[in-house]
Amino acid sequence: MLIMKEKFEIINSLKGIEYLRVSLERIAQSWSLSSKLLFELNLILEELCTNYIEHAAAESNSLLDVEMVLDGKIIEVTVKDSGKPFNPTEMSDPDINASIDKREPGGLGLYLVKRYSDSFDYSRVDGENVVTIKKNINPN
Amino acid sequence: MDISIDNIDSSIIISITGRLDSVTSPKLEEWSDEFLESPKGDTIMDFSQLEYISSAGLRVILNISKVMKNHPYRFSICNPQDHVREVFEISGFDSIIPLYKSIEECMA
Repeated sequence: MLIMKEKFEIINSLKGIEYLRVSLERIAQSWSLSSKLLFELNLILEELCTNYIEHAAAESNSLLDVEMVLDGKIIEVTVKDSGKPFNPTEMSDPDINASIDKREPGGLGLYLVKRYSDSFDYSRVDGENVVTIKKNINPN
Repeated sequence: MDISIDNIDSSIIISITGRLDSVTSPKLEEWSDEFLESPKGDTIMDFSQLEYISSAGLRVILNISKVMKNHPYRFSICNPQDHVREVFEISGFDSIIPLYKSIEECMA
């Protein structure tokens, strides 16, 4: 089975989010991913990146390293940053059943990451936050 | 992302084309801040041309929905594409904002 691998860096700003979109569109084409999978990978990575930009208090010129591996029916995405330790998998879920008055927008991004991923793991390795997402490729 | 406005009878149709992500959502937020000062009728957001939404877009939509509750007009969303509808459902937004399949159904 051929294993495909892609690596890219995202700068710590909204320009990085635009670069993420362009990079994912290129990879999706190269790997023949469905539009649904492209949508979901883009959503997962946008939420992880904006969370980092907003909450990790990283230095202004820091980078996020993204590595994507397609191995058979599984895509594994690893996102690394050298900011202060932050475990996104430990954030509490928003109350999605709350009435509109009580509904708060916070926490929704990482909740979407959790819901759209088949696994969502964190480790701190050599001074870096390492987030690993796995996604099974469904037929269609 | 583009925003276009149409008036049908006394309803206002806001069509969003393209993507509502963390890059483009501030543009909708800026536009909606002004619109929400004095909405003039029932407001329907047409999502048929919306290709992508992230939590940044959901945040703006939630705010519009909350503010519209303080006005005597309905706020609803029509015709979301499948991927966008799924994000709405997973987020629980389908239980706080009425979703319809078409503008006609929305206005009925």
